Amino acid sequence: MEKTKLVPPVDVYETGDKYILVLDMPGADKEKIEVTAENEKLTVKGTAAVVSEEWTPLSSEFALGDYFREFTIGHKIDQEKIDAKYDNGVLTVELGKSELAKPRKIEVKLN
Amino acid sequence: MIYNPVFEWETLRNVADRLFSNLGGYQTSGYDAAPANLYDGKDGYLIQIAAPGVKSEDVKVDYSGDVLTVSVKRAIETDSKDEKKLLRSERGNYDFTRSFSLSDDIDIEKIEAKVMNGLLLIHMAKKPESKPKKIEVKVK
Repeated sequence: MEKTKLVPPVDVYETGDKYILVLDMPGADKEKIEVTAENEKLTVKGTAAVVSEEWTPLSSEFALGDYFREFTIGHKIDQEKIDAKYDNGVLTVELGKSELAKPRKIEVKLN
Repeated sequence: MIYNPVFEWETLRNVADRLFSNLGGYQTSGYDAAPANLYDGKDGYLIQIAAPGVKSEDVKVDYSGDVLTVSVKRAIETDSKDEKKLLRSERGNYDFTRSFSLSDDIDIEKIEAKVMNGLLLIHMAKKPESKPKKIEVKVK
């Protein structure tokens, strides 16, 4: 049977020099989390192991399996400045803004 | 609304994204509960509750009169500040209590709960006499 593809919910924050993505990925194996930036897309993947077969489900309200979510980041992100950490079922990805996306102050000369 | 940690159909999420993307609003009220899975095993029962970002000190598990009561509080950052603007909010907070009626084959001395990787796991051992027994019958 094909494993269920799960889309983790996300909170997105913006600060002066970065964007922060916070994703709920309960039960994920830290070693198998992948964060990839390529072709203006950021991809987040992870896997949460289901319980072993010796356990018979009596009732089920949520699924565990493969997590997948894709974000379009365009030119706003400096791909060299991406950090991710996983703690207690929550994945936090910090994306440094490219110079293009940082707030700029432009001085206007008056003649 | 029961908190749903995941959406099984990405397309559905995309449809919802399109529907709401122009509203500029987001849910801030949080959720009523977190979802739970129940399993039956050879030596016990297992309750699995999705609780990403929940600290172990914010979980309370009580047992009384064949009823297991579980309280879970999630208090993640949800506010938007000038220096850290919230652009999109899909995760919410909750503070709920759920009760599970236990069958009488549970050894109440052996109920264990732990928070691991964003999952609250409650393991309840079965009493030895309720395990399936294998009795060898001597044939004379």
